[in-house]
Order: sequence, then structure tokens, then C-alpha cells
Amino acid sequence: MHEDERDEDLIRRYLDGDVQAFGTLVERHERRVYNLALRMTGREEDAKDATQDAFLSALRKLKGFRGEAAFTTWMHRVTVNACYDLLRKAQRAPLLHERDDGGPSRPEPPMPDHAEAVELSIDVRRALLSVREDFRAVLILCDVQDMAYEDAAAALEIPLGTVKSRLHRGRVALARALGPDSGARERPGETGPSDGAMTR
Amino acid sequence: MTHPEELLAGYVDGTLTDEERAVVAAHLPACGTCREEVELAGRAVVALAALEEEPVPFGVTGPVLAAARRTASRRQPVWQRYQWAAGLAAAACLVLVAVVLLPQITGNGSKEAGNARAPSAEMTTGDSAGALAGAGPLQTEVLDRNFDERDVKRLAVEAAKVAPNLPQRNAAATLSAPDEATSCIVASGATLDERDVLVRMIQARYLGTPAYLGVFHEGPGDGQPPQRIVVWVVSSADCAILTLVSQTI
Repeated sequence: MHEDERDEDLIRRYLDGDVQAFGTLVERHERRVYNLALRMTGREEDAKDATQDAFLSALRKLKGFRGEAAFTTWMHRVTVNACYDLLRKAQRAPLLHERDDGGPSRPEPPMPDHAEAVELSIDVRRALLSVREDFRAVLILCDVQDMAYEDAAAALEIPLGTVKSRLHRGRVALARALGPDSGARERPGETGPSDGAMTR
Repeated sequence: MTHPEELLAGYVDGTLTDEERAVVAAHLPACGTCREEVELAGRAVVALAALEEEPVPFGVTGPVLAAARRTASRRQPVWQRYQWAAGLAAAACLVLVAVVLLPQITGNGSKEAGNARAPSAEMTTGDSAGALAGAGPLQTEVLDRNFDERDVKRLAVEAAKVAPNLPQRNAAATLSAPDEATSCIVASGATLDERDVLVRMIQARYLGTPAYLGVFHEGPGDGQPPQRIVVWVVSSADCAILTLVSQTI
């Protein structure tokens, strides 16, 4: 088994009965899947559940994987759907596992560099969770996991224009949740269902 | 006013074509809202890029791999799934001897002894799979201990450390031993074949649930050294798989 063996070849070998090939596939993708789930749900326990659900779902559908999209893209789709399902079932606002108090907060008075960085990171994660779910998914894929717009569109099964629109609007919403000097008014429709138009 | 919303993400990322960039450049001077949003979006990009990836906690993918093994087992042709039974048949007379003589040799005490191990010839070390270095029957260690995911992982790591010193055992003979714990692991749906060699069996608790923990060597077979340790943990009540941990040797 080679580390550079293509995902599609690992899938074929697993379907031929080689269980270790699936293990390799899991090892290769678990970190991205788990972190996507962690950023989407904001809870370690939920992220673990979503990761398991995603891989189990992938396992069930593996036989039908035709390779139209890269396995990575497909796996991201399955993971985002698992997160949506989990958040819907839980019917609760996602929370950070580190802290469970209210909205965004900033360190005050000034803290040492490392602690400040940690605190800022917590603020970013909390702010991310305040962004609506469909915008958040695009933000995580494109800005946290560096996925190309086209791949994010394939993973989320939405038009490319919608990805670009959600990405921009998600970024603006995140910055407003974060920044002390970003209290500008929200655009009409920012939290509404509309996506992707050149006009608004 | 019409805003080029679909272009603003690309404008911030620098991925627009010259033509698209010109559209945005012409729009921004006259639109304070878009100018402000572009500035906000830039800050968001920086903030998100600083988020670090977190490690995957122990045990998250164990049940997934267990399910993969079950699925693969169902998909395999019957003759492949039970090809180890050929070895079983070949070893049948040895098994018969073991079944008949084992109670006399061990005092029928695989679980009565509290922390029973294999007969003295096999008990060469105090605490590891190395205690099973003979060809004799494997006995279940009964431990008053509650394992968690980390403990199971540690068990696999310890077994991996001593693995090269262990001789290969006959998987068929091991699995055919009249041992309740082994039977339970086989019944759980764990996919075991001639390449899996049971080197240690523990009866204890896993996250509070009475459980059997079977430590297996997994390798290419044919007398080749094992490549991986796999620890199957199943409920002793209903033989359901509780978790699975693997460790490369």
C-alpha cells in the first residue's frame, strides 16, 4: 500500500475485500472531516458524532461512488450533510466546547501574546458559529480548508455563483460578529434566504 | 444600485479576471457599502486563516473501521470468509486433544483463576502478549478493570512493542478453542481470517460495560511477521462491538 495511492484505487480495493484499504482512506481524510465537523457544530462531542456518521454514510454509499467528483469533494458533501442533520436533530444553537457563555468577547486588559492568540482563536470560532449554517459551510470549506470555489460548489451541490455570494456574505457577517469597530448596519437580506444574485 | 456581489469574494481573494476586476473597480468609488464590505471581508479572511487544525480524538473512527470490516465480511464470498476453516479441519485432532485435556491441565480454570494465564510454559513475562509465547491454548485474563479508549489504545501500543518477539500462532487452532470470549468476538461480526492471530484475551469492562478485549496480530499470513495490532472490544453480554483500535507495528 502506498501513501500516494489514489483514493479511487483504495475504494476499489476495499470493494474487492481489502479492509485495510478503507482504513487508509479513513486515516487520510479523518482530520479534514473532523475539523470541518468541529467548525460546523462547535462541539467536540457533536464533531465526533458527525465524523462517525459521515464515514458510516460514506461506507454505505461507497459502492455507488462513481468517481464523478473527487472522493475528497464527495466526503466533504457527506460530512456537511451529517452536520446539518445533527444540528437539525439537536435543535440547538451550536456552542464552543471550550466556553459556553454568551456572545463574542475580547480580552481585556491586554494579555500575553500566546494567550491573546488563543483568545482570538476562540473569538473567531464563536463568531463563526454565529454565521448562519449555509454561509458557514462555505466559509469553512473555502477560507479554513482552502477549497477552490468550484470544489466547494461541487461539495455543497450549489451553483458556483451561490458559493461566491455566500462566501462574501459569510465573511462580512463573521467580521461584524468579530470586530469592535465593525458595527455597520447589516445589509437587507444578509440573514435571509436569498443567494447569489448580482443585484439585491 | 446594483452591486456586483458575486465578484466581491474574488476581488478580496485576487482571483478575478481583468474584466471582472474592472467591473468592481468601477463600482467601488461610488458605493460606500461595498467598500466597507470588502474591508470587512478581508479581515474575516485573515481571522479564518489563523484557525488551526485540531487533532482527531482517540476512538472516533474505531466503530467506522469495525463497520467496514463487517461490511467487507458480508461482501466476501462464503468460501473466502471461512477458508480458515480448512485449517481448522486440519487441526481438528489437536483441538480435540485440547478440549479433552485442557481441563485436566489447567484445572478447568480459564476464568476461575481470577487472573488466569496460559500454562506455565507460556508464562514467560509478567504483563503482555509475550505471556503467550507457546503453542498451547490461550486463556482469558479476567481483570477487575474499567478500560477507556485511551487504555485500549495503550494495550495496542504495548502489544505492538513486543510483537516481533512473538512466534506466529495457528489462527484456526486459536479460534477453535472452546473459549467463550473468543466465540463472542467471532460472533460479533469481527472479520477474522487466517491472517489474524489472537495473542491476548482479556475479560474486563469497557466504559462500564462488561467486555472482552481480544488483541490480534494482523499481517500478510504465510508465516510473515505481523504488521498491525488490532484490539477488538465486544460486549460480553450480547457480543456487540464496542470499539476497535489498531496500531501499526
